[in-house]
Amino acid sequence: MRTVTVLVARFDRSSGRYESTYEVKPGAGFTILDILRTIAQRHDPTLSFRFSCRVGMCGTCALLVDGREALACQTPVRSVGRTIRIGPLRNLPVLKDLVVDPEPFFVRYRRVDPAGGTPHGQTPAGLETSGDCITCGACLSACSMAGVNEGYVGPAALFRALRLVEEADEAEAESRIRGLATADGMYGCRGHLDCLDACPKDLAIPHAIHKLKRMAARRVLAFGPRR
Amino acid sequence: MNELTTDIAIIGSGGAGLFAALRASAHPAGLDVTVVVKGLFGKSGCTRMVQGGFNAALHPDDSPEIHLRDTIIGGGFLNDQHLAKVLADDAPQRIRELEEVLGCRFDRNPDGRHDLKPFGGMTHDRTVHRGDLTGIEIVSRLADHVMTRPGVRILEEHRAVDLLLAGDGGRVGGLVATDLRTGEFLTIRARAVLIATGGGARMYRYSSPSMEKSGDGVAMAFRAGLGLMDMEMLQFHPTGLLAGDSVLTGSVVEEGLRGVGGHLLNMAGERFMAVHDPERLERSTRDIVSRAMYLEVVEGRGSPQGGVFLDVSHIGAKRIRAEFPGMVKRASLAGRDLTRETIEVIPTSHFHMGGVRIDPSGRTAVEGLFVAGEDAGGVHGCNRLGGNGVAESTVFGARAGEAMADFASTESMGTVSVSQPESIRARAESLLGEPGGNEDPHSLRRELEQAMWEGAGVVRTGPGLSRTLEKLRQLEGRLPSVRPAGSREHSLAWNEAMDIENLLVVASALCRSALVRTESRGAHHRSDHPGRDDEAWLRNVVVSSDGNKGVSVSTVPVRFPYLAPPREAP
Repeated sequence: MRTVTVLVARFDRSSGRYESTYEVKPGAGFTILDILRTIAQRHDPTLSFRFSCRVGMCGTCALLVDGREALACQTPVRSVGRTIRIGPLRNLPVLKDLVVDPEPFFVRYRRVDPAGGTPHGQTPAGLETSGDCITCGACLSACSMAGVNEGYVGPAALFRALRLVEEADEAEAESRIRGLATADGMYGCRGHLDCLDACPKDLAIPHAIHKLKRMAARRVLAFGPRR
Repeated sequence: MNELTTDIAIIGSGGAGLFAALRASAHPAGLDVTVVVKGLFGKSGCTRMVQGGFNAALHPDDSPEIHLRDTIIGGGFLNDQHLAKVLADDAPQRIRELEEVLGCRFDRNPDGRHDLKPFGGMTHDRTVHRGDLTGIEIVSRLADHVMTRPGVRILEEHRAVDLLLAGDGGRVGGLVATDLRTGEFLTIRARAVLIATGGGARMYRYSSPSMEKSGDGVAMAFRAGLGLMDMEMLQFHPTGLLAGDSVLTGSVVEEGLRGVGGHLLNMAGERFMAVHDPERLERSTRDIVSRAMYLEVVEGRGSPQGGVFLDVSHIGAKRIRAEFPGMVKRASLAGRDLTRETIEVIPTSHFHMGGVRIDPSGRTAVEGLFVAGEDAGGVHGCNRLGGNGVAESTVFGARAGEAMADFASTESMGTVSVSQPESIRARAESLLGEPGGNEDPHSLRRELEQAMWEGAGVVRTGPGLSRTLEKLRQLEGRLPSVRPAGSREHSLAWNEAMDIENLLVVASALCRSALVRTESRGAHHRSDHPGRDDEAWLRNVVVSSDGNKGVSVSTVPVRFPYLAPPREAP
C-alpha cells in the first residue's frame, strides 16, 4: 500500500493543542488502529489513544476520522484518502491526544436509570429494534444538540431507555415515559439524525427516540398534558 | 504516594469482577467496594467478547450432574472436581439472575424456553446466548448495575501493579496501582482483594483475547507466593484470522463456518483433514483441527501468510451473509470477500485453563486474597468446553464477592510495612526506561510472542520448550534496558514494558509445566510424548516461587470425588 499522510490532533496538559503529521506506510489490510499503533511504536512513542478488543466490541477506540465518528479498529485505511485527519471525539473532554474522558457520557447515561426496571425474564417481542449498544460515545460526539444542552441525556441513554420502557409493565412504562418527556429527555433531540450516521454498530437510534416521542404523544392524548 | 482505604478491592471489570462487585456491595454490613480496572470500566476483558454463549443445564433432559460429567470428560479428568461441580450447579441460577434481576435478554424459542445451542463435547444442548453477541449483553447489564450501585467506587485506567502483603506474607493488605492517565501511584489498602484480570492468553504471536490482557493477576499471585496449576493447558482456537501485520490477526473466525460445511485447504488445495480425522473432517474437535493445521504449516504446505485456507464459497453467499454477518465484515476488513474468496487462518491462543489454585469460594492460600475467572485454574482441566468460560467468570465472581464480603465484615485490616508500596513503585518506574536504554518494548513483546509460538504452541517438544524458556530468560535480562517511554501519561510503551514483565512470569510457568508433563492430554501436545498416560499423569502440575527468585515445580495427584476416570485409558 502507498504511504499515507496522517494528521493527528494532539493535546496534553503541558503543550496544549497542536497537530502532528506522520508519513506511514500501511501494511495490507491495515485499519486506522493499525496506523496509530505503527505511529506509536515506530515514529512517536508519546502518541496516546485507546483500544482493547480490536474487533468492534468494546467501543474504546471511537474517534474522528476525517471529521466523522468511527471505530479505529473497524475503519480500513483503503476506505479513506491518502491524507487522513484523526482527532478525538467531540462533546467529551480530551485527556490526552485521542483519549477522551468518557465520564460525561455516562453521567448522561445514568440519568435514565439504566439498571432500574422490573425485568420479567422473557424477551418481549419487538426488541430486535434495540440492538447491542457498546456505549462508545460516537452518537454523543456527533449530536448537534449535546453541545448546546449539557443537560440532554443524549442518544445512547434514550436508546437504552426505550428498551427499558418496552420491557416494563404499564405502570412503570408510564412513569418512565413521563420522566423522559422533558427538554433534557426525549425533547432534547430535535431529529437531526446525526447519531444515525455516527453509530458504528448501525443502531437505529433516531428510530428509538422517535418511538419514545410517539409513546409520549399517545399518553398525552389519553391522559392530558402534565401540569 | 496517595493512599486510599477500602473494604474490598476488585481488580478487573469483566464478568467475574462485576459479579463480585454486585455481591460484595449487597452485603448487609454496607461495605466499601473499589473496582480497579486497567482499561475502561466494563470494556476491558473478554466476557464482553463472548460470542458463543453460556452453558447452563436448563434443557428438561439435562442436569448439573450431566454438565459436570461433560466438563470433567472434556477436561481429561484433570479438573478440580469440586470447582467443576460448583460451575455446573450454579450456572442455571446465574442465568436466571442475569435475566430476572439484572435485565439481560437471551434468545428464546416461540414456546418461551431458552434457545440452547449445541456446542462441542456436550451431551445436551446447553448454551444460552443472545445471537452471537452474548457477552456485550451480559457485561452491559452488569455494568449498568455496578455503575449505579451506591458504595462502589470505580477507578478506571488504573493498572494494578502488585499486591501488598501483611504480616509474614500470609495475609493480603491491599495493592499498589498506577493511574495510567497521570502515571501517579496509589496505595489501596483493603481487607480483601479479588484478582479477576482474565489471564494472559495474549502471550503468543497469534492470540484472540482483548489486547490489554497480560497475565497481570496470575503474575501478581505468583509473586505473592501462590502456586499456579496446570499452566501448560492453553487452549488454541483453530481458526484465527490472518491479516498480515494488522491487529486483526489472531481474532477468532467462528467455528460455525466449519459447522456449516466450510473446507480447510492447504497450499495444494487439499482438504487435509481427510488425513487427520476422515470421519469428522473439518468438524473435528478444536485440538485435533489445530494440530492438523499446525502440521500442514510446519511441513511446508501452508498458505502465503503461514496458515491454511478456509473456504466457504461453496455454501452460498446469501446464507453466509445471513448467518455470519460479523465474519463477513471481519474478512472484508482484511480485504477478503468471505462469500466468494478463501481467507487464511491459523490456530490462535484463546483461553488459559491453568491459573491460581482456589477453593469453591475463590479463596487462595493467602488470607483475604481471592481469585476468580480465567486467572484461576482447575475448573476446566486440560480443555475448556465452549460456553463454560463465561459461566466460570460469573459463577465464581459471584461466589468470591460473597465470601470476600463475609471475610471483610469480620476481619480487620492487615498491617503492611511502609517500604512495600515504595519498592513496588520503584520496580514499575524502572520500566519507564532510562537515557541510554536501547531495548524497544514492542520488539521485546514480538520476540516473546514468537518464542512462545515456536516452542510452546500447538505442538511441543522437550528441546523446543527448553529453548523458549531460555529465550524468556534472555528477554527478562533485556527488559530493564528499555528505552525511555517519553511520557508516563497514557504511555503505550510503559504499559507494554509492564505487560511484558507479567507475561514473562506466566509464559515461563507455562513452559516449566509443559516440560514436566511428559505426555499429551487435551490442549497440551508433546510430539516427543504423543500418548495420553493415565498411569503416570492423572496429576496436576503446580509451579510456585520458592521466595528467593527460584521456582519450584511439583505434581499432585488429582482427586476424583464425583467421577473417576475409566480404568483403561480411552
